[in-house]
Amino acid sequence: MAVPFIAEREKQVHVLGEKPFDMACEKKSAAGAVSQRACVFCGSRVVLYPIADALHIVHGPIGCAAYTWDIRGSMSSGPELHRLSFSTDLRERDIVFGGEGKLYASLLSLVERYQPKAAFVYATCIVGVIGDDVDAVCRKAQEATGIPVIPVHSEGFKGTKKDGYKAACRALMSLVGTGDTSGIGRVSINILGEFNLAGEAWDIRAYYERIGVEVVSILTGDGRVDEIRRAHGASLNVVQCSGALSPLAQEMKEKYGIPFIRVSYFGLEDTAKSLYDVADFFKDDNGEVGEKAKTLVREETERVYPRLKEYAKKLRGKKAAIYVGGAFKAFSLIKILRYLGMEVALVGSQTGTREDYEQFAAMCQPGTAIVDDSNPLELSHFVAEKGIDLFIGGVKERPIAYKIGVGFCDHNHERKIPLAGFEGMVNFAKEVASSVLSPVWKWVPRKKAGGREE
Amino acid sequence: MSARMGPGPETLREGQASAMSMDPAVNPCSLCGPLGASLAFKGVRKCVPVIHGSQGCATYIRRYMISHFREPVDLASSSFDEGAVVFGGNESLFKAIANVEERYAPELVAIATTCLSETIGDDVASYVREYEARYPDRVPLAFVSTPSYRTAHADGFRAALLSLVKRFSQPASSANGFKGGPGLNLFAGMVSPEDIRHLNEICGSFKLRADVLPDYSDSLDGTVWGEYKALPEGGTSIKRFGLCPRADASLEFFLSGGADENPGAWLESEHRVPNHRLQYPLGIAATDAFTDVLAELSGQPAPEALRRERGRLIDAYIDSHKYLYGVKVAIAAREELAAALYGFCRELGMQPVLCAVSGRSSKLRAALEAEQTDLEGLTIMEEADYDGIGRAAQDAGAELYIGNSKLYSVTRSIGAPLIRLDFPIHDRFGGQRILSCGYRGTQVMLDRVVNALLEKKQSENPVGYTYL
Repeated sequence: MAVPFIAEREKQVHVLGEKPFDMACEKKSAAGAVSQRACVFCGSRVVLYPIADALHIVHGPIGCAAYTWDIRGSMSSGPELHRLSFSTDLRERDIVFGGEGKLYASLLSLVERYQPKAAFVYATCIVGVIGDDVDAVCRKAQEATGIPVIPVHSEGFKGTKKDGYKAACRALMSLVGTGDTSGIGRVSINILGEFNLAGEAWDIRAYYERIGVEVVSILTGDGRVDEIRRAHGASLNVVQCSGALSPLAQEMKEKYGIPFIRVSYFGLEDTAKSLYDVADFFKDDNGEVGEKAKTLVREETERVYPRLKEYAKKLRGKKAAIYVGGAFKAFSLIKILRYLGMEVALVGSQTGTREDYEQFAAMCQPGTAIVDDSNPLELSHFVAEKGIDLFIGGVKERPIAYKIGVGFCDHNHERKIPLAGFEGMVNFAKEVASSVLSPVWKWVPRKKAGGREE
Repeated sequence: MSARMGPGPETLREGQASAMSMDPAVNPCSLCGPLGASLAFKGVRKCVPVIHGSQGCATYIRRYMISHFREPVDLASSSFDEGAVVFGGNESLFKAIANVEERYAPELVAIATTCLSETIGDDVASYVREYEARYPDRVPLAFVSTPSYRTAHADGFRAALLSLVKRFSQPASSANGFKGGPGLNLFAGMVSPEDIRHLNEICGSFKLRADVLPDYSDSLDGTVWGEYKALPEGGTSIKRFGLCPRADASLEFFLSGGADENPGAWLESEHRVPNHRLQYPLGIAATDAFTDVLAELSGQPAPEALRRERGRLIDAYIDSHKYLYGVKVAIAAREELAAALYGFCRELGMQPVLCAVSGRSSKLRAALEAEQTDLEGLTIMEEADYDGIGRAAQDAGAELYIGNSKLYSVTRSIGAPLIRLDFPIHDRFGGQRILSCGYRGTQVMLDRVVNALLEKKQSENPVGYTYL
């Protein structure tokens, strides 16, 4: 008989109220666990992907590039070089004799053809094993082409997706500080950890500009190399998302003395707070920012509130499950769902920290299941046990929900609907309602009284 | 690069870096070997594939397959870390097998290697022997070597299938194990679940005991469940693989490879099971060839229903021919499907200008020449990428494209219709239910092709006729 749990993951699953809270996390995925996580390379790839005028070349065999072609819904207002997939397409011969020559030749020909502002070279698993000196090739290519050619040390097996974020941040750090910062005012920020999925970064940027805050650079949504180069000219880094860009914020603080604050743009409450926090930071520089933020929040809230109220009426009392990559997004989601009158009975993340899980515990009701680096069997077990009506996750979680007749909302980086900010909250409510309230579920055997098994 | 329209057909290798080339790939066609292997393994009853490598390999493949089939696709990973890279992946693999066995209660754990485990020189064959010696009562294992630097997804599928047939074939000492009719092994390649159902149905209509191997028509296109199942229903049993040598014949649609690569050829050379290598049955001629073999094997003529399907199809060919004559078509698909599409297009008077495959050891040219049609004006592209396909197709003036979702990256900017087929279908519904074989599947394809052309004509027409 199949069982949903494996012993070595015992401390990565916790049901609130069943025993004292003592969760383990930040571990490598258990072999055979069918983790929902990807790899180090994936972490680097998703963070750097939205930089639209850079060449992103995957140094490795073809699969790594194929699976990450056009993977995010990140939009660009100009060039779309990021949407192409480049690979050195290493073959058996290269594994034996090395891939340095191929990498160098590929870089030269692609830079000539596409004229990028910079090139990111992603090292994959086998590059780390066959011993290609990617740094040396990048240096040589940089000299030959005159553009920054930046190695990203993202060998898949060297940690988890989070280590990929760090590698991406190291790559970004090599660009930051190389541009001209003249003309940047005091009341200025960088938006970090916003990837412009479905154009969300444009909405967020517009909010800040409306309250009189200059946005120097967005990392990395709708990203441009030249904007990243001058990011060190901003006064404050505003960091979204739990892990992805935090290492960069930390390093910019150490190297350039730029403080950072953490924010989220999901839900009215967190979006408003992000604007207020930024306004608060600049209160001595420009007193108007705070007033403008209040006005913006009031106007936007008044605009969306009636529609949200309608959705909340229909969604009240429904039960939700959340399983996302980073825990920070889940904090917002818990609040949003509550705002809509819904209850969270399962929450988890791929890469949360102990502090993150403690916060889940503080935010949720007894009986709520909390999971770290979970998998289909665990998730489906709790979805059934808790009587979940809606699952929020990514594509890999979707069939877990659908197969047993549970609604689903895609909140991952592949989505094409903006869910951030004020209008995004309405989109989110609509997304949730259109799944939870759909009449299709009545045909599911489990839910149909006296229904027959298919 | 340009597709040259010289006196003879061209075979281009410039689209993607060939084995010796220094050129990068731009928008790859090829997925990786472990994906194909995973698909084959998902066609085995209660089988959990284990991807022996980094966690990402399994997760990427899952995401690709889930988005196409819209079904749970649980693939385990041995989840390499730096220690495994230095000291070998055997302990990680054993742990993965044990965890999978405990939680899924599988009937088979099937291992596919990756670039990483192959590059560090992991000897998975010996690991498998070691595990089976250590735990004789535990779940049976199968394994296939599929580093992506050597095997594209279609190769991985075939290699995995061959590994299953080799691993479980029982010697044909006893009598035919097929009750009630001649037994047939049908190796159809990476077809859709709907194709599998239809092929089984056609064979059944000849009273043959035929099975498409492996059969993922339920495991990757199942019903809604009352409660969550660790593993979906359906799939070919290990016992059925065991019966392969006792079948009266095998039939396979693969183009390339010999007995060391193809299950039908292997069964013939190893167990003297007569093998029929046929073109994928899309188009009248190819389906005729298929049903002729079925008739011969079963000793029965084609059933009336099938003959009527054929008659209706010819009727539809005639009804639609004027819309299709001379239409320039670009084809990008796995090799046996590309060859069949070429034949289908020629039957209808369309003009294929490009036939592209992602594979690395293609017999495409020979297959097309065997059609005995004039290859002039055709570019054959092996080891293609979408960048190369786009340029060659546009240079040749392609008006209609047939291929998977990723071909949309080419057709979007030129506004040409795209008929979605093959794997993956990520931007439309029902990829798992696309039928493209038999007379019925040919009819489906014909309707789709004609309607795509009519739709374009209608939408571009200033008058907006509702009667075409």
